[in-house]
Amino acid sequence: MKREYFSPSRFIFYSILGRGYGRAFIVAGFSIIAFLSTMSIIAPFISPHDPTKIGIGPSNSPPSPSFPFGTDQYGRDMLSRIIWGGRFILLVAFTAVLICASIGVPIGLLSSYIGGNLDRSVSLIMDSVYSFPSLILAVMIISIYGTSVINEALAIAVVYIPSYFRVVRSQVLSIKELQYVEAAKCSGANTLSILFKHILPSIISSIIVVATVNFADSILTTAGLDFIGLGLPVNLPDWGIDLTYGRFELASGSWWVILSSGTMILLAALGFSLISEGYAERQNPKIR
Amino acid sequence: MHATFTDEFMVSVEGLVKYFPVQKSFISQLISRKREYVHAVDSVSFQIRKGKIHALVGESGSGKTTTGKVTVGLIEPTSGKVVIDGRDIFKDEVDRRELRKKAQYIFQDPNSSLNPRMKVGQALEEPLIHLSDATKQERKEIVMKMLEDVNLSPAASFYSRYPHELSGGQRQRVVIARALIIQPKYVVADEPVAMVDASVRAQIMDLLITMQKRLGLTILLITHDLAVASYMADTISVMYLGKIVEQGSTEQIFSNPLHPYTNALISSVPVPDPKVKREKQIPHGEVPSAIRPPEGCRFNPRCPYRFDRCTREVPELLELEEGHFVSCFLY
Repeated sequence: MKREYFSPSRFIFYSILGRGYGRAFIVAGFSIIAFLSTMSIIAPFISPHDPTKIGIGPSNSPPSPSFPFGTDQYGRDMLSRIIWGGRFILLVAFTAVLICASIGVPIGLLSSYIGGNLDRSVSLIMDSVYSFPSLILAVMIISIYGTSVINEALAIAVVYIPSYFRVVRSQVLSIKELQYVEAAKCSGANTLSILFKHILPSIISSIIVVATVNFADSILTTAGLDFIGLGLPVNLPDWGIDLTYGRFELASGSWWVILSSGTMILLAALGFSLISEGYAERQNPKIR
Repeated sequence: MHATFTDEFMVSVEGLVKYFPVQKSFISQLISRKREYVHAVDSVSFQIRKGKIHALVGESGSGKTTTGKVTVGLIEPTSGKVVIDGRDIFKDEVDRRELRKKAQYIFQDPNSSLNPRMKVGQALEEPLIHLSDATKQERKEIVMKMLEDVNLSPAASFYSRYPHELSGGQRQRVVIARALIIQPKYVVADEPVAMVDASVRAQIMDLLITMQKRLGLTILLITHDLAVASYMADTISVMYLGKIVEQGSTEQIFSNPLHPYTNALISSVPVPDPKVKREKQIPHGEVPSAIRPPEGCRFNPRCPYRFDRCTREVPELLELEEGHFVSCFLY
């Protein structure tokens, strides 16, 4: 008996496409993510210009045949910057999601399943971590250990672990009381088998939803770190940097800088949303 | 003498007590130090002979399910002893795995006791994975045979179905099959027919009886329905608010009900004859709270024959005729 919960993105997807598009969503989502990842990996071979070179074209020129995405205020080619721009931000986001899911989910499962004082103390620790403002903690970690993919990912991951923990915990609390969990116990299943075979599959769709939000947030935090100068050097190509600095150029009418970089961030988040929605639908056998 | 005792009885429950602490809020914990308990089961004793069906009958909240779960080790008792096949399951260092192989539980609600994401085949395979050494191929064969045994045929088609694709009766058969697949000696059947349609009720009861005969099972049948108990059980214990009020063979209970509560229960079983007019003895009032059970006999606030002694003393379970026990001051 899976409880249906309201999700705005699901409402939009279903009202446009109707149900039964699970597989299509997953394929579309993976295609977007695969496209972005491939583009970032082979960037050195496909970008038409050096993304950091100033004065390749005229300053702030709108999209034209020679510069399809236009140029920024220093005359750098936007197309090349977009192609290169995903490398760092995607890597940080992937790593961050991976780190905090692989820490938060098992802790949430075990702690809430075992319950009692263990659960109480772990919840207390998680709540105190949760009360930290993410950007400030990230600033702290990075100013101590310096900028690198791992440090930025860790800085973002630490703050996001409690989100996974809370989502997992609240669901496990209700699922562990269900009769089929007791039946599994009676069938001789041990705690690990109950957690990973009976409980985890029922909550994986919510975990993926948290991962999607986490992914999008990681991208924004990375961009934020770039903005305050703790991320990458400003001249390096990065969607986050282009989006934050492109704001100033929007006032002078150069909409193409933030449109292209913003679209890329949107695409990355959309890819993950599609995977999550498709997976949620396939996970629920009743609507397959 | 002890040897014959263990030979004769598959299950022996002695002085079983289970209190559940009442969850209180932080504030009320500060105000009052006293802990409160739900007296779910209060010194319950019964024995089941090998290969027999014993029924626990009572209304909801009488502690039947708690008793059943304690006897298969799913709940730890507050005190008391449960001996299955000659071994005290809470005292001796009984291997959990061995216990699970011997004692299984048929859960009450087939809708929630099957994982909605697991196919029937996977659900039935699970006890075999954990409790037997069968290979993958052997497990599949055992599951297929079991599906045929519980009349879910063609087995191959049921093997790969999800629980939501089954009817209530079919789900109940799957739940029974899962409990019986490792060939236990003792099974608790918790309201096996309460959730299925009246039309398949008899089929499920017959299935349980057939399987019991074939495997030589000892069954503890938990039911609120005396008609089900009379159809299946050899012996019956009537429970009220965590205590056994009357115990005896099915014949004794039905032909000569002694306790006022048993009388009331029997008078509520419908008789399929419109000419029969019986005096209904429905006890007035509600079941009292199990947190603060009534003083004296627990049935006294609702009993039509109550007198002084009932509110002061707790009646003992007395043997009035051979194998027929009652706990009432009328006798």
